[in-house]
Amino acid sequence: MKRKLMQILMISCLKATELIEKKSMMPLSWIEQIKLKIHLRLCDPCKHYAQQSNAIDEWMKADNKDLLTPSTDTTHLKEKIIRSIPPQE
Amino acid sequence: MSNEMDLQNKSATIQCWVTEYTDALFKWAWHKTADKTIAEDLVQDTFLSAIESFHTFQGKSQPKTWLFSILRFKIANHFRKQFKSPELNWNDNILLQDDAFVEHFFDENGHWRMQEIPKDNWQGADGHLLDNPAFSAIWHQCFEKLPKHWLCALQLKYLEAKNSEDICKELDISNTNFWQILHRAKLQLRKCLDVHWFS
Ligand SMILES: [Zn+2]
Repeated sequence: MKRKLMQILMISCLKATELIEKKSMMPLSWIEQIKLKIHLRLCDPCKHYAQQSNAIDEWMKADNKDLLTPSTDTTHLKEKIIRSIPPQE
Repeated sequence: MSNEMDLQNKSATIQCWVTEYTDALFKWAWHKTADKTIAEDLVQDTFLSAIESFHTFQGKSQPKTWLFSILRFKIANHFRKQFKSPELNWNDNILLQDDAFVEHFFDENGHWRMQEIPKDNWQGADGHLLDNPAFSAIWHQCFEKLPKHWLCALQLKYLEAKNSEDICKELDISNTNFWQILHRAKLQLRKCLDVHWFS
């Protein structure tokens, strides 16, 4: 009985990582939550995956508009845009 | 104030904004799209829209904030269009390749393959890391390598303050497909960052 229950509750790493991403989108069902919780308690790689996935989320959300992307010369772009502005009357 | 005067002000103001804000807008558009040409087009489009709807800008917000909100809308629109474009045809292509993709990371029992096991090596992985130009460059490279529709789905999730269901409706895909795409995209992105930065 106990073994059967564990079998039902044990999920693979593939399934666990899928649940981690699903969770960031919608609430998990209670059974999914339990499965994921048990898995993360027992599996270090998936625990690391969850933390790293979280870090990626943070970077995706980071809307630091002044962030330091490799700088490019936008002179040409500026000229092009200004030329496309309708002339003043 | 006469109409003519308005118009003159408008052009002069926009020209001034172009000089002042193009760099910041372009950087952000590039950061999101990972494509220089598309980023340039989106920024140009943003200013053209700003001219058209100049009357709605009442100086209540900062010009920069206003321009960024237009750009945000343009970028989201770009991803939505791209996701649906017939060339991507994600239904046919991706679901076929999907098994092979997943098998690269997991064995037949769904366990991590030895060489793919995530380790405790992401030191300093916090929000500030993006301020580091070297990391930011790697981040861009990893994004460029993502299949286009994965990139679209991933970006839309964070660009829009909408819930996932609405995004799915707009993209005409099921919830399940959406989070499966996100999962695959994350697997690839995580690996790319892991190999090129954290290892
Ligand atoms: Zn696991």
